Amino acid sequence: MPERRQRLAGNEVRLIENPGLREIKVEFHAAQELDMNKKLTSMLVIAAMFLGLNTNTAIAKDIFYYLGYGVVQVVDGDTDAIVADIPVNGWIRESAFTADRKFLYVVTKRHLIHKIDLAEKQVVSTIDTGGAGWDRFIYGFDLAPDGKSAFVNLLSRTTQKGEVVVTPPMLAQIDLQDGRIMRSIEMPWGSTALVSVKNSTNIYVIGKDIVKVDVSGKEMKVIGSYPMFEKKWNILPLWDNTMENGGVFMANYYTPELMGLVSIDTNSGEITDTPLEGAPVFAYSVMSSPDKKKVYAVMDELIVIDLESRSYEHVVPIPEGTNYAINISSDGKKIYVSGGGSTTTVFDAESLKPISVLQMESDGMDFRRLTF
Amino acid sequence: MKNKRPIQALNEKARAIQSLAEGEKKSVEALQDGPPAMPLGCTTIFDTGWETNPRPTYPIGNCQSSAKDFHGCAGDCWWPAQVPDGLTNHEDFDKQCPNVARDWRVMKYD
Amino acid sequence: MDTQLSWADHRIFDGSGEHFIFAVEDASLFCLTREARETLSRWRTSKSIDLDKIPSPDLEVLEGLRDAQILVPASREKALPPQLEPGSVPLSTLVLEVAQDCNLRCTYCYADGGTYGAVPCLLAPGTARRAVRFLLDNSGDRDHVTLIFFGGEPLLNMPAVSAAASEAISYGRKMGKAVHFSLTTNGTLLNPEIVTFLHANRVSVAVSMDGPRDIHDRNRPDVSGNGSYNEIVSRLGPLLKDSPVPVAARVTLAPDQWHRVVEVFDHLIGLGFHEVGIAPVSPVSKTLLPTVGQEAALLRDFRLLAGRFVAHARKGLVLPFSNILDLLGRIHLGQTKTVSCGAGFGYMAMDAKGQFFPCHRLAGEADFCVGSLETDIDTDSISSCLGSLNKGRKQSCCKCWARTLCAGGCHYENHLRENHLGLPRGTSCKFIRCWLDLGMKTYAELRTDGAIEAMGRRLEERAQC
Repeated sequence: MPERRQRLAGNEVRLIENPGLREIKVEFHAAQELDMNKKLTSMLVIAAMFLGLNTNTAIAKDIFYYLGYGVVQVVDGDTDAIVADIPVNGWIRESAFTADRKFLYVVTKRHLIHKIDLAEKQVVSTIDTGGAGWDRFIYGFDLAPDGKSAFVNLLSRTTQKGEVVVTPPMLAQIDLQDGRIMRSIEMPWGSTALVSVKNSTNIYVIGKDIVKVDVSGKEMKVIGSYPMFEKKWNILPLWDNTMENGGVFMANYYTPELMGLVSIDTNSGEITDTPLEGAPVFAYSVMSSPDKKKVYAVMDELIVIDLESRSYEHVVPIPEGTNYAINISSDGKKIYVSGGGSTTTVFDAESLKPISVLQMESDGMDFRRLTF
Repeated sequence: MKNKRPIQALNEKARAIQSLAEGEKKSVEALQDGPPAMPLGCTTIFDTGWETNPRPTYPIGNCQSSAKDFHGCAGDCWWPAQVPDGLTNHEDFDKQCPNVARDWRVMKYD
Repeated sequence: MDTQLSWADHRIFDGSGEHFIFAVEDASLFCLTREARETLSRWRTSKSIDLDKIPSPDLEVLEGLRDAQILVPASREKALPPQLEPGSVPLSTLVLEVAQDCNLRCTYCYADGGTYGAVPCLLAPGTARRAVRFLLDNSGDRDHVTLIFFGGEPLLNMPAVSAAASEAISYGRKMGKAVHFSLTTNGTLLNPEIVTFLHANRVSVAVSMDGPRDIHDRNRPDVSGNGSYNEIVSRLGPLLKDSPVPVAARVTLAPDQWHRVVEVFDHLIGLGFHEVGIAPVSPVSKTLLPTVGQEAALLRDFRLLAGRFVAHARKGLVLPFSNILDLLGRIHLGQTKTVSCGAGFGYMAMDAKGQFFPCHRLAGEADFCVGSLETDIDTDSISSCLGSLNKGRKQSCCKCWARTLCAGGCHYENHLRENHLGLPRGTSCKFIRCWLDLGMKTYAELRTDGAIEAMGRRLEERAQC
């Protein structure tokens, strides 16, 4: 069960959340130096805060990050207002938060890796993966648990004797201090995304198939694969909200007959296929509801998929038009559709009515969430 | 007697035109097999793209993506014939007009 | 692929047992099997064709026509060829009238005995040098240019010719550009010294000779009225012998001489010329306008020479008939024209006073003066003088199958006929079309029996001159 520790009023509080039950069990341990008064006050404060807990998780604070063109915009999850702009060079594609949630790494122009200090709201370092005669293109990015290196899927291109040479993709581990490629292993053509699995002992590279790579040893080793191509699956695995999605990477795929959902549980490494019934909808990306009973999908419409019946329950047009990305408030009450053009629409998850529209600074790719 | 093609190119111009047609057929095949290298491209898979919406769903008859996700389509070279390619020749194309729906009047490309 | 198609502008030629189709906008030429020809004639009248509704075997033919871009998507916008602006084309060729004077009085001369209607004068060597620098300075990033020595009779002014040549070599070297020299002469003043100069500088020489003595002397008497044939022939030998570049004979024939074209050609080849080009005279006066019968005679003789060209080609030989070589080269490449010639577009003429005209034939016509060495070339007046001459011409041409090969015809010819002689537009058109038709059929004949293979490269080089 996910567990969070937080300091509240000088006390260390352990919050244990069971999302399924929407119940918060609280244990707290008072710090020893506090005198009794302070202890009482703080207990009261804590109690007061917890009074509303079962109906609204006031403690959980969502901050959303809009990954745009030349900018990351910060959206306050309570007010749904844009509260800050973080300038970034280039068009953003990949992203990953550090485990301590203090930094956001974004990949722009498919070859620049920027480290953003979220408190300072600025880029503090940039690595250009190209150089020495090579153009590099990053498709898929995830951080190693210690945050010191990243796993990327790289396409490399150079010119030899006036001819363009593109080398096969490779899964590479890049040192985030100096930008050098620590090690790499060749991947099949079409490798487009990756997820780190089981605390990054494995990397699953998603392309025509899912290739499982063991990166825990000295050498990277392919240890298996999950077939997709032979099943005629067409997939665009470009939107990764695994972290917000309870550690589950999920994407929709299409066969000539239907749309389905494929998910990778990054804790267990298990891959699940959920083909859906009925004429397929069109969607770029998907995300689960916090209770995992529904999956929301987005393209020109916001679609609600009921997992139990494996059917499309609701299809609601998005008045602003096509969006790429979808995210959801940690309490599951608000759905955010974003990316594609320059609007983010906030929907009420219950009524599926749009609550507000945010005009973003630029067009965008993705919409990520940090929850405190 | 040699089986003659009904239309045979005679001058160099005619040869060039006929080989264009052959080349087009070949490149469709080429995109379908072998290592596709770069770019990836909606044109190589299933998407009709962003000109028209073939689906009987909203927005009927027109995919609003044609205005809304211009940079999404240009950046990764999804539509190399229609929009500037962000992977090779126009890496910073988005900078002149990062918000297409708002600022399309200033957008520039040949 | 778009399956709703309509017909692009094209022309069908039916030879003896052979069928060809020429697509106008592309200047592409195709051979059709008999079956394809027959299928084509059945579908040609349909304005719009939907390939999805066509059954085999017609479908195969129509798909082939689509691949040949003779059937094109109905939705295809006819892209207008870009309008060429004179200012946008750097100079490539300058015709220098080194002498506005001549020692002959050819009956058909468009230059009024070489003077272009003015007082006879010679180009000063200093001005010649300035002109050469002007050419090189305005040649953009071309790596080579052409200087043509002309007149009147250029050999009357060797000081200017050699000044220009030496300037071209030294200034050209400084600018990293090569200069190619050409010279057109009546041949009466050739001497060993001049021949040495011409050979040493690899000047491409054209000698104006009109054939056997009787024709030549009638056309090209000297100031006293005596024929010039003997004089020229006596001096020709050293020029032809050991020439590093081919020497051409440039022929002008009046309409009543057009029935002797083959004889003229043979005679001049017999004299030792390496190539012969035959021009029907420009009608500087009404008496020089041809009758229908005379035009037919000209075409008949051209056809004979074209036939001989094909026979030679089958033996691996090239008949050095300039007219057919030039035309076949263009057809071979499928070269299309939006302007009829380079006059004003990279090609300019300068008279002995340093005034510019779009070409050597328009020189001396005051309305066509477009600048001077002092004042530079005024590209606006190029546009306006050629524009007023050609006002509405494109519209008249727009239905003609030959428009991409002809593009309106010689400006000077049009000016003579329309402005001087008061004729309506288009009096040359029929002849031009017949000539182009002859060229296409000759090319098609060469191509279909493979005789052109060896010649292909030669024709390409020719077309790119």
